[in-house]
Amino acid sequence: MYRTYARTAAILGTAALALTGCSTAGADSSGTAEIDIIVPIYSDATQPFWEGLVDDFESEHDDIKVNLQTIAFADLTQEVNTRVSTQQTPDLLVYSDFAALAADDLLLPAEDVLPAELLSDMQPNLVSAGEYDGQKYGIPFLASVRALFYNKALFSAAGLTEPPATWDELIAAGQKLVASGVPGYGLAYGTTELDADLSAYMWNNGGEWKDGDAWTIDAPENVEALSFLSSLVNEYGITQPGGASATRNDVWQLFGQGGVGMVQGANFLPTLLQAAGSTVDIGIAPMPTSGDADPVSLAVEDYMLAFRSTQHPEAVRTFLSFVYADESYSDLMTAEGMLPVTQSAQEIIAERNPAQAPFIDLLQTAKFYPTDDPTWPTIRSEVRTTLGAAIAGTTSAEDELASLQSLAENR
Amino acid sequence: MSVGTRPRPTTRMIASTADDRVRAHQRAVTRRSRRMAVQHVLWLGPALFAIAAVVLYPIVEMVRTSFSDVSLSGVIRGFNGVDNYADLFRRPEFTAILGQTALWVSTVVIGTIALAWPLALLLNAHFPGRRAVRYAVLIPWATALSVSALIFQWMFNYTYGVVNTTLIQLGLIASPIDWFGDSTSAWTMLIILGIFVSVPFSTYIILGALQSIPDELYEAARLDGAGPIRSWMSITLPMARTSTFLAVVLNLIGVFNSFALIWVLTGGGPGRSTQTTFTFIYTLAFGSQAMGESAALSVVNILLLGGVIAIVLVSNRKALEDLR
Amino acid sequence: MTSSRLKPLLLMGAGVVVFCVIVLPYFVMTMTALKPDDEVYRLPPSVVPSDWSWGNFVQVWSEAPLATWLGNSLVVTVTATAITLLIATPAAYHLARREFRFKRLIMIVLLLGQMITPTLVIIGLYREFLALGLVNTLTALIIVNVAFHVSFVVWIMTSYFRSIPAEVAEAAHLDGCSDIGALWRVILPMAAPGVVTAAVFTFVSVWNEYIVALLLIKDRDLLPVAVGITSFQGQYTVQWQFLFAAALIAVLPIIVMFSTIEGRLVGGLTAGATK
Repeated sequence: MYRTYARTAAILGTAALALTGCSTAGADSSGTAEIDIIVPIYSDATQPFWEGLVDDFESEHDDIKVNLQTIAFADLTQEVNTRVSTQQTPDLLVYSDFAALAADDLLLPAEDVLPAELLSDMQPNLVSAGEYDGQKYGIPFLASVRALFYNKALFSAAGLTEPPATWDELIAAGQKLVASGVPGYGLAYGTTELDADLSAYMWNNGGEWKDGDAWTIDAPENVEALSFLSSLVNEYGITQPGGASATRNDVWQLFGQGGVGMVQGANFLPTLLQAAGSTVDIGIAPMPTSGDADPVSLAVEDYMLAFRSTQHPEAVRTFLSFVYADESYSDLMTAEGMLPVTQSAQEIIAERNPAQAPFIDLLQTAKFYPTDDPTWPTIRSEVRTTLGAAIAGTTSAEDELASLQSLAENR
Repeated sequence: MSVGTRPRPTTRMIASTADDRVRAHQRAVTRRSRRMAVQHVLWLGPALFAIAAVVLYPIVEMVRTSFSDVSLSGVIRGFNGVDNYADLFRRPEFTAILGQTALWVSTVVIGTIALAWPLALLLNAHFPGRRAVRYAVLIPWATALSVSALIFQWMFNYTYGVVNTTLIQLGLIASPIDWFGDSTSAWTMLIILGIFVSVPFSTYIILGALQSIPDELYEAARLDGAGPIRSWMSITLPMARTSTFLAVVLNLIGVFNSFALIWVLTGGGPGRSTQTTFTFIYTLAFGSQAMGESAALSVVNILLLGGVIAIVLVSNRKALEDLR
Repeated sequence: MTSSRLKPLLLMGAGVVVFCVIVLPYFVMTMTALKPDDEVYRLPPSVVPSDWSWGNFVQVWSEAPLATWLGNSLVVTVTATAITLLIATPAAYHLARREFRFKRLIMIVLLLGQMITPTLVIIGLYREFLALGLVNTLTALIIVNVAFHVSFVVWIMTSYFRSIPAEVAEAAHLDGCSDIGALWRVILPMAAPGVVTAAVFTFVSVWNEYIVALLLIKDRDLLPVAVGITSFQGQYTVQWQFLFAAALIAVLPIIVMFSTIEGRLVGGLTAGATK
């Protein structure tokens, strides 16, 4: 009997030793800190660039190993959620939906992982867009800004000299383009990025997603904006055919082939179109407003997120300083066609590529999606799924926004 | 006692011998059943263990999550009873999605079998070029479903799709067709394409059975004056019953759990009109940040599928017996 | 024309139609894969590339570690298929021959295994392999693929084994074979086509498996080709020519395998499921 006890004790003891001696991922068993970073694939430049960056970093810091994982955007949410559910969060993640993670206290604020000079070099409105509960959990990493793109050749063929600045002018321009034989405004309203379209029009009509903490999706200004979009398709008929199943990419490529006169584009669009062989002479203007208020541009920001679960905050800090270093950071932004978030890098980009300068200007006063609300992804998903019906006219703008409002309030 | 005389069996002796025999018999049976049990373990053990270890444990996990409160980012925060199920059933779109799933599964399975049969008959017959057609039929099956779906997406693209372009060039239509623009045409396309990718697999299953039917049977039938349809019904069909049944069940499972085709082509849209329970599991988890409800729907999905299969099994007693 | 001469012609006509319909999408895929960058989105769209860009394949091969990915897929698929057959065949044989109390329960477990797809249980799978310390290994992929394919192979092979008369096994026993011996030496050769069929079904399915690989593999160099080719999908645009070129490279090994065993494949389905 005692032998059994002794044996059991020995087994348990060994097990206990084994467990405590067990090294978890990233432990400094040999003095090397390992950090994991997940980066979504923006383009075919993403993988080679980051690989090079990691190699350069590791050769300068032989006590830090960086494990890079790139993943397609389509699979990103699944990856992040799975890791959160199984408590296997990485050290760093490039992601846009930071609020839900922040709400569950999974992130480290910027001050903990960024040198102070770097943080102060970041554009203020980009930093504040990443705040949740007063803390800077969403560390700005890259940004893009939307604007009205127009085809200069098609415009002069239609007798237009200026891009439209108001909604009325938009309709008029569209009608002239249609008269000259080409659709006026490219609008995709399948299951696609309709949150971008709605934002651009509602903000330029004085509407908002939220007022403080309260959602104001069903506000009258927003209903007007949505109705306006719908009218472009139905009443005025100035949009391209086949919009009900079109995606953003379809409409952009169509623009690139000279198949439509105007479209809501982004700063990275010219790069994309060039890769597809487009020869369109592109003109850029702010999105039109409904009245005479100043135009508002939509900016989209992706954040660098540092997880609390990291075992090596110092290594993370060192790596981030390296990532944001002006030269290589600007190279990355140029390769991806994105806008940098640090003012010093922005100067570099503006110099290298004057075509990006107007976008950088728009970025300074741009507005962002309500990404600081943890339920934003749900609403965004709903918008992308259901707004198309409202634009097609099968549901009314009021009903659509009312149901979005109740979804937002009840989530 | 004199040598050579056997003791006469007394009642007591008879009784004990009978007991012995019974006990001996029981021991033999136990030995046999223990040996049988060892046999079961040896032959079936590895397969069952593999399934139990890798498939069943995650199911337990899935069921657990369906009763858990999961945060918007995926943190599992303890149990919340049947709230997830309640929330799921309360969703206004839930009934519609159930109906859509029924539509999807029934049309594709029936359509697949309906097309696989004639195709199998064709591939079983002799004609020049049969080999090429057999090879061709393998292609959709060999290609990953997601790749086929992407091809279809590109082919039926409104502006860039080869289908619209060719139809217009041939003068068959005046302007491009928006194949996935409204729910009716979207469903029609999804069903047709779903059948397209499912037919090769089913065809080969049925073809296997057809190949094994000896020609003499058909000869005999012809001599008896049976026409082609009569032969088909009294010879071919019964002999291929089990394989048809197999094709139906496997198809049922495959279509029920089909994701890539619908997701790539319509994303469940327009709106939610082409969502099935399976695609909705994904939408709930990663679109609506409702992972608890998603797990609940996963459980419901399995129960539904199990129920449908049970119905199919029960209504095909004979085939069921053949399979057992 | 006599009906016996007309028939093959009609059948051939039907065959041609079937051939064209089935091959059409994959023809489009190949044509698109061969288009140069500036022709993919050109209007009006072309059916056949104006400039046959075989270089797309070269570019795709050099941009992405396709060789590594194909190697990973090969290792996982061959191993998983072999192990699945190894453990499923005896199980199927046993189920085909014997009647016993728990048989119905076991058939239900098998059916359940068939009904569950990895998509439904990703969280649990991840947790399990995390606990086993096998995340980010090809071993994990092999194990998961085996477990999810065993049911299917057992189902198919049970059918085949039932079609082999019991006398064959009895004769083998009379000759002094044990059960395993009988299976290996006598029955399997008779059911070899069935084994080939099951192997092929499993091979194709594991080769194209995506969800589990996406879930369990973090290192780019460990990805199977099914996941690897998704890296050609950018955030907003899809470079169709490269995506399709990569997809063609990914499907090639399967086509090659099919063409070598196609005769056996059809013949294989002969042996079973005929009752």
